[in-house]
Amino acid sequence: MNTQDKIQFLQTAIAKLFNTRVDLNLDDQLRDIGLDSLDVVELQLYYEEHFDVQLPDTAVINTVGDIVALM
Amino acid sequence: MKIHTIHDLSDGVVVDILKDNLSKITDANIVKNYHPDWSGQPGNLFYILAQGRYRPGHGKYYVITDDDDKYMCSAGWNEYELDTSVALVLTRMYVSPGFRCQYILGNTVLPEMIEASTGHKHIWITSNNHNRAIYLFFERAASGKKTALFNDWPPIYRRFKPLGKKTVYYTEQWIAEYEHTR
Repeated sequence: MNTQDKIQFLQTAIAKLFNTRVDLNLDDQLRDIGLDSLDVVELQLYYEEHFDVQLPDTAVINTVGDIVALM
Repeated sequence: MKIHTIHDLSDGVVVDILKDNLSKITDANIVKNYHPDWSGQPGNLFYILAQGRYRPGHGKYYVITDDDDKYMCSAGWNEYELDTSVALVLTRMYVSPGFRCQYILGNTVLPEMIEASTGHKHIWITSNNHNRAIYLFFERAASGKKTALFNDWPPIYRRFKPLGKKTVYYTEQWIAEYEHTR
């Protein structure tokens, strides 16, 4: 999975889960993409299930690039 | 930011702010509980306010606006009439789309709601199947798992522990209970 594929994964996940179309770039702040407080929990679950991983509670994720780096 | 509080429908200015903004709701999952056109239904916020669920000493409803009285969000706390050892917090919560994921209620009025309801043995946050992600947060927090992919909820929510399903107001709800410090 290259960087563009990872960004595409995130965009697809957001579209699938929340019916929201977003165009993401590595530097984008995730808090600005319009998701609500329930969406961020659901996105966490989706991420874990899709990649079969469990991110540490201490993982700090602020930008699209932060997620891409963890994939 | 301003925090307005009401116990019923008598404060016309604040009630009008609520009505103007909640009348914009179109989501079929929640419209009957919030839209003033459904105020004759028992689960509707305006019905609940009129019936005295948030009356002084037993509850309060908080309406948060910006300095120009533009609606941001609202929620209440109230004693559970069918078991008065229980206080319910963040009831009839709604956040205007432009202010979501800013945790305004969690950071501003939730601590005050808890303080106001500490005379109750149990303080609960309830959620239903529609907003079950609320409960997933509490389950994951209790098991030490990461709770949100980004922009996590304020720490005060981690004081609530998942209890499972209970019947509240004749409906099965997912319950998280506040862990008292004393």
